[in-house]
Amino acid sequence: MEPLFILENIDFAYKEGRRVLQGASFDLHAGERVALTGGNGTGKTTLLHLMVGLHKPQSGTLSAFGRARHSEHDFHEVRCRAGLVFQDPDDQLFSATVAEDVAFGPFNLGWERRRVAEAVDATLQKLDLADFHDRVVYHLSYGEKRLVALASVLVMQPEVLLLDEPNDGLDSAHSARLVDILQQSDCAMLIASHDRDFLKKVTNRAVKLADGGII
Amino acid sequence: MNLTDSLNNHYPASVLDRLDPRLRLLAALLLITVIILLQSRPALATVLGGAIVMAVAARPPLTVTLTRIIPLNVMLALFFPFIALAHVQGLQFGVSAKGLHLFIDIVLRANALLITALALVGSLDIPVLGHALVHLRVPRRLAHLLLFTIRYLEVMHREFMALSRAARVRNFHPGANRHTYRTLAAMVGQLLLRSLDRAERILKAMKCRGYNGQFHLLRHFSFRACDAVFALCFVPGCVLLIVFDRML
Ligand SMILES: Nc1ncnc2c1ncn2[C@@H]1O[C@H](COP(=O)(O)OP(=O)(O)O)[C@@H](O)[C@H]1O
Ligand SMILES: [Mg+2]
Repeated sequence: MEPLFILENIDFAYKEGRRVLQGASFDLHAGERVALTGGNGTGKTTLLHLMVGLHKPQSGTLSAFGRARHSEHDFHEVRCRAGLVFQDPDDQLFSATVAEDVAFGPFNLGWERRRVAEAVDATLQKLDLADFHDRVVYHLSYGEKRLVALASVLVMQPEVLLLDEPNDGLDSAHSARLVDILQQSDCAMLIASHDRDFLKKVTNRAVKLADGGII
Repeated sequence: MNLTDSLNNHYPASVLDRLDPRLRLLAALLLITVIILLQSRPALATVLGGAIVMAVAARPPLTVTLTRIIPLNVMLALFFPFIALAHVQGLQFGVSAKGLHLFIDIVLRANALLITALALVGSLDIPVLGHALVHLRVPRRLAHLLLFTIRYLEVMHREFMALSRAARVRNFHPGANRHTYRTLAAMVGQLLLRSLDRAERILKAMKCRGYNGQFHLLRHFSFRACDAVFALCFVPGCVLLIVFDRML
């Protein structure tokens, strides 16, 4: 079967700054849960953002779901099928209440209101967050916000999950819940993290970013 | 106390919560207009009584109500000499009857306005208020601005507190000197930069969930029988007040 993502010889540098990725190549196949490791500032976040078109590579090719992707228009479809969870949940959750935030993605997919409401309820139920439905986002704890951020992406039923340091700053109870949720999901995943124990529990393949390339 | 705590209401559920939030907003708007138009003291006293009844029905916590009503009345009391003495004729000292009447009217009107707002709007959750505004055809940009502001006020407050803590642990004591102004300017600059960065990241995160410029609302309100009953009592009540006022 064709890989979900194929990155070939990607070069990328921020406008003001040194080269972050240099000749990076990487495939992601269905059913894979890949750990993405590498020191601080090696470009893990940058790579995840490149995969959904938030940055454009200076050279190299990126194809996703069987097609080469270049324009913003191409990436709109990619983003609907590959869900990126940001490292900081305050970047991701912008609505006043939990239910509204979780409903945001499904509405953008063009679902009708009844279906959205049902999907929101079902997702919150599945993540054991049903009590949070009407809670105000700014009153949630950090760990709760991170779980809600994950819910807001899972509700769109993505084929691929891209997670940026999902375990960072979680206490053991929240971490255990996150592990549970990820183990139950059948999405392909690319998980950037430093936490070896956590990665061991949820991934089945590992790659490492170093000197701009992926080993 | 948390900054955004004051944005969230601490009211227990009340009969008023059964009403459509849009109706509550419109009712508050109508009653506030009426209170501003009233001229006679009996009408003002009646409307104040009515406002208090609604406020009691909204079951606000006593402390929240008092922390809003007391400052208003203290401020009014401070103005008392200016209002009452302004109407003293000639050079005689003392309080004129006209000044005293004017003062009483101002106190009644100000309290009626505040209590009406506290009862009908103050007990709405701000997110609900935002949505009610959208559904009342307030320009969407404005309403969404309100909703985003609520959401990120707390985050900005936290970032500012972090900056100010960072300055304090390095022994920064604000004073009236250049060093203080420079430091504060740098902190405000930092805060602005961080807010811009944050805004950019939020937009990226929104795009990642398929955002294409269109906002949808999950929450929809419905106008029900109890809303109709309330409206049928409230609107004639306001009309009666005006009639009563003009007859006196
Ligand atoms: N917006 C930006 N502008 C310029 N340089 C950036 C920007 N974001 C990240 N960088 C730089 O790119 C490098 C990789 O960052 P990042 O992808 O966040 O690393 P990681 O997630 O692995 O810690 C770092 O050296 C960082 O300083
Ligand atoms: Mg990172």
